[in-house]
Amino acid sequence: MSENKEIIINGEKIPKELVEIILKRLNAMPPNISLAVLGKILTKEDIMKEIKGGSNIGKEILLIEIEYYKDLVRS
Amino acid sequence: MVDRNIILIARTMNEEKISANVPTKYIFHWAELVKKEAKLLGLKVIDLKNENFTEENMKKMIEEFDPYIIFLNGHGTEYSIKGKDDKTDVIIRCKNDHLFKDRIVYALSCKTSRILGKSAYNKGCKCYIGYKEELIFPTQQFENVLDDFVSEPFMKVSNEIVITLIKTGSPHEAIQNFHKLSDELINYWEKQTKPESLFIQKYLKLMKKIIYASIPLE
Repeated sequence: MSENKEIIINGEKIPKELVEIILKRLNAMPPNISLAVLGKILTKEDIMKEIKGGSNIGKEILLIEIEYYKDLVRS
Repeated sequence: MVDRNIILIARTMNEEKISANVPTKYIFHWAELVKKEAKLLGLKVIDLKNENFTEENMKKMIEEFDPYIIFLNGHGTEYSIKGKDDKTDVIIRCKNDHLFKDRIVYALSCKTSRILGKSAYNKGCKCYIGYKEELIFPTQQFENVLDDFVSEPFMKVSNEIVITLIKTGSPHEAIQNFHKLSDELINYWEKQTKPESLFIQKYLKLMKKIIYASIPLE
């Protein structure tokens, strides 16, 4: 994803501002943590790259982040 | 007649490309704890490891020993579970998922409960427990998997399913215990101030969301 490109997941446009916030949150991820997705390991840098690149796994992680914050707002 | 005193565990850890396969290495070692517990509880354990985790061996072992519980660990898709080399399909929808008839299956794999699990259930699998989406958990990529406190909660909740199945034979209880333990651990990690705690709770919540069991009405 270039700086101005929008991400669309399941037909829903994810606001650029929300993506920016999530990327900032992910950037604060402790350096000792990676994410194990069966088949590969994603470091913080990999995750940021996947999201910015709009890959399937990047979109899944983005959705997980969005859902997490939605749940926080609901609770 | 299935044998309630037998569990079949299948797992793989491709040593040749281990750096790329930390996730399977982790779940491989998690399953070792289940194996120990099963033995302590007096069950016979069939352990199909690495190069033995093949379609032929699965068929042979299921037909010969008739295990009640099958615990699968490895890569998965909507349609299949992969074995020894992380690429070769071992259980495939509508090819050999009838082997699960009358048994309880737990697959620690991505996505298999979407289609494979439902297909197996339609062919008489007593209960298929798996995940609907990509299975993701945080890790510190430790050499000694069991020293990793970040991934430990994920091991605990996953193993709780199999250990409950071994103890009670009830998929209902297994799922209930999974959710109960997950809630306890989420609650615990919400109170911690370690920088890792947010990721642990976030992905535990995800695991709770994506687990899916085809359970018959009891």
